[in-house]
Amino acid sequence: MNSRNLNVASCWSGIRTLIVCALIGVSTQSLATETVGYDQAKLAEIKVLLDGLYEKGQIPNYAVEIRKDGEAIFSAYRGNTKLGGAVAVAPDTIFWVASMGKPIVSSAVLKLIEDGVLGLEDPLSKYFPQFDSMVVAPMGDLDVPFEIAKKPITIRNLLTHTSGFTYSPEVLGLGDVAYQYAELGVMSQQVSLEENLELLAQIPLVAQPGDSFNYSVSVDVLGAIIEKVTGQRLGVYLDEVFFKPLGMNDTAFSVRPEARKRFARFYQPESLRNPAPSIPGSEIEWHIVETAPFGRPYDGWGQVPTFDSGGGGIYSTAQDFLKYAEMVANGGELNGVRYLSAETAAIHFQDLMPELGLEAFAVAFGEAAQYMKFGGGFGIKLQEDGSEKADYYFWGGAANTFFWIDGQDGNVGVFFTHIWPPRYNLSDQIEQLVDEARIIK
Amino acid sequence: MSNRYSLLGSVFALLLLVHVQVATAEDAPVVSPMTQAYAQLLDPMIDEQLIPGYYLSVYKNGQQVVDLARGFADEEASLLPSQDVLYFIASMTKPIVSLATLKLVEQGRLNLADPVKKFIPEFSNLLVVPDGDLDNSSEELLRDVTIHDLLTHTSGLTYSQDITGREEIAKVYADLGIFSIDGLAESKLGSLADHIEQLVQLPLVFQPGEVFVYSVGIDVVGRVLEIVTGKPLDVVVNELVLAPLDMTDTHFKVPEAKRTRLAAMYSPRVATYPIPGVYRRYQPYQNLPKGQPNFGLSDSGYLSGGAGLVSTARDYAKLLAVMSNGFRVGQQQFISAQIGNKLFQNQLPAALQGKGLVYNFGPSASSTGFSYGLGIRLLAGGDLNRSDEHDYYFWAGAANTGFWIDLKNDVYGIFMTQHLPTQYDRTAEMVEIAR
Repeated sequence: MNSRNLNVASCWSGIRTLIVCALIGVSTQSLATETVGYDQAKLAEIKVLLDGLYEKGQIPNYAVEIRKDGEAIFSAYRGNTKLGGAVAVAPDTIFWVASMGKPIVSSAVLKLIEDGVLGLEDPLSKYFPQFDSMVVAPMGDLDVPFEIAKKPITIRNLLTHTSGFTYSPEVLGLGDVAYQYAELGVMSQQVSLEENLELLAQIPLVAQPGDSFNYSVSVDVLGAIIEKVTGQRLGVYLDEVFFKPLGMNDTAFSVRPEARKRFARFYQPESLRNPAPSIPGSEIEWHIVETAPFGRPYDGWGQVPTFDSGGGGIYSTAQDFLKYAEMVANGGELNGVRYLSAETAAIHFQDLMPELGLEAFAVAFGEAAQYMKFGGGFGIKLQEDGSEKADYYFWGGAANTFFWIDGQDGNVGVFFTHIWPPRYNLSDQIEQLVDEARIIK
Repeated sequence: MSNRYSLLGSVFALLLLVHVQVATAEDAPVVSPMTQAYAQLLDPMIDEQLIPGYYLSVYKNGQQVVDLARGFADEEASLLPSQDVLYFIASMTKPIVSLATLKLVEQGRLNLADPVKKFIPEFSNLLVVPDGDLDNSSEELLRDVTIHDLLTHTSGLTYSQDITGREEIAKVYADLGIFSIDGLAESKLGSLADHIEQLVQLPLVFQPGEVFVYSVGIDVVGRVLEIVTGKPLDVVVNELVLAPLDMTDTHFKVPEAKRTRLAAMYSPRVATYPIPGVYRRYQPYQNLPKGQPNFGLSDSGYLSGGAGLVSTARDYAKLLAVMSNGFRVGQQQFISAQIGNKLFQNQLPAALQGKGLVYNFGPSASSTGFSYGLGIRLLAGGDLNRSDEHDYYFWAGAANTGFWIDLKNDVYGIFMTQHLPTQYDRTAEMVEIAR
């Protein structure tokens, strides 16, 4: 197994060195062989942490599993798919993993680049001409003069959320423009993906393309590009290239009726829908109740959507998602089957926008901006010692799901629960415990 | 940290500096162990960036013993929290309006047992839909709704579903915008009287006296005060309570000159992706009219006896001082002790014995009682109807403000921040620290 002890800093000078870095990335094996194991007592602290939340009733359940070199090094599952229900959460429990579809769609784009179908520097307007002359409302503020977009939006921009697109306010969209997304229902399931792109093209960008990281509908747009060049619905294409061959049988844009009994329900703290005075000592602050994310009740989730949302529409299980993560961590291959070339797999871990400084990430990541870079669909969390080595590669989903690929030894992990809106930012803590448990000779 | 990071790094450094200045201002008195204990309890909310700032004031034996401020009351305006900063106190309005009502009772202009229909005739036509469930057939009122019922949240009224209402009827409140929080800044329905006009079209969710349902009851009381006195609610409340208690910074509408002292309102900031480490979990509240950082600035709201006031910790302390001091203001009796002390007696009907506030606040609220505007925390195993077995009195506002009165230890305290909805209630711990 190859390690990902990739020095991100050395890859900061553009497309030409990118290939070189890719080669360095896949040939670095030092730490993997030095890792002799994990301190199981330390890993058990993850369970202590999650049990604490579970036993106080703050999360309905959890699924956590960590794998390295094809083997589970830690796993813990607790609770039921429904509070008071009878179906235990297990490796095959289905969660709405939402934005964790973004890295998968990004992998598909990188595969199409490898196949010569797409180019990293292709402008979006090559596929959808309506985006060929965009205006920019800096910071999404409609009260200041608009600018003309100085550069076209490229596939590289879409992969790294530097397109200048944003989201609606409930997904931390930026400024007045975010409200336009909400008003026009951009990327809602009311209309087709192509019709959504028509709406999107009418709204100003919130930043010049390439200038800053703004979490956005970019990956939905990538999904539209994939559909255009493959002539297939996004879910069908992903099924063909990844899900079916990897055996990710429960990963899709809907939940099969016969699998629905394994689909977890959504919960939220009662206090959030309840702006009441709280009663000292009462459970109201954290007591969780079933909820309907985005106003859609449980029965409305998992149904076949109008369009396959690459940015937020995917359902998966712990065992499924780990297969995807292992494949990428393993240089594009799993169990003897190659899905991506080693060079393509390495692009996931490379800083694809090396010229961006800390300020470019400040809006989206706050203080953590100093440790953030962004690769091919993956966030890159740098070590906090200033070495600019990757601590881990990651992304997460809106209902409190998260996965990572470790930067030092390539271990992969998932943590799932179903809390909406997301509340427990445990990802960094869990990954830190894994790091502390690692025994290096 | 490399040069690339210097710009934002210096911003962080600056923020850090401000925090340090707040914590160690040169003229600050020596920090007492009690203040340190409060800081230890409350500062993590700032360190974890859950709220931008807070203010806490605690009084013991009538003297202020804690005057603790951290962070910002309005980040954008760099307003520091203090006892003179104005905060939207929401349901902490209810004790004030309850007290105004008791004043009218003392003056003989109103009886607690009066049926509400005496003032609002439509109350005689109310129907009851049990559990507020529209599938249930409606019932006639078994008895009239009284002022007492309104003050104790046992009238059968409820709140909008986006406040505490949980019934189908509460959804109708929400759809119509009846006594909504956001309506305080921009009322879809018009004035207080207009809200009442809509309210009386809807059925009650329980028979009067049957269940404690946190409700718009005090808003209805506000309208009754208007009708009894013939004056708008802001004038009535000022004449009956605020002016006599010298609460000069408590307003339904913040005067222009005081705007710079008004805190900003915040709400949860939700990232749908993981952010490594600590990050800002709050953002300015989004539902206010543009240019208004908080409630209390609009001319197009309604006068709310249940939630309409903006106040300062210094002002609110005057109210708590009066309550803690036998209802005397200096040498004057603000209200007779006999009537005032009703605030420290359980007023829930015997039929609710053991049920307390469970309907709205969960199983642990079974040991909580209610008077007029005040919650009553019982000693473990205590009897609600024996005042000597009460632990402390309290209430709180939807934007995470709160107060308590600990009569036995002669302590009261006020906590101010602006986070809607309440997420970080530390009252139980705060009560203990001052003991």
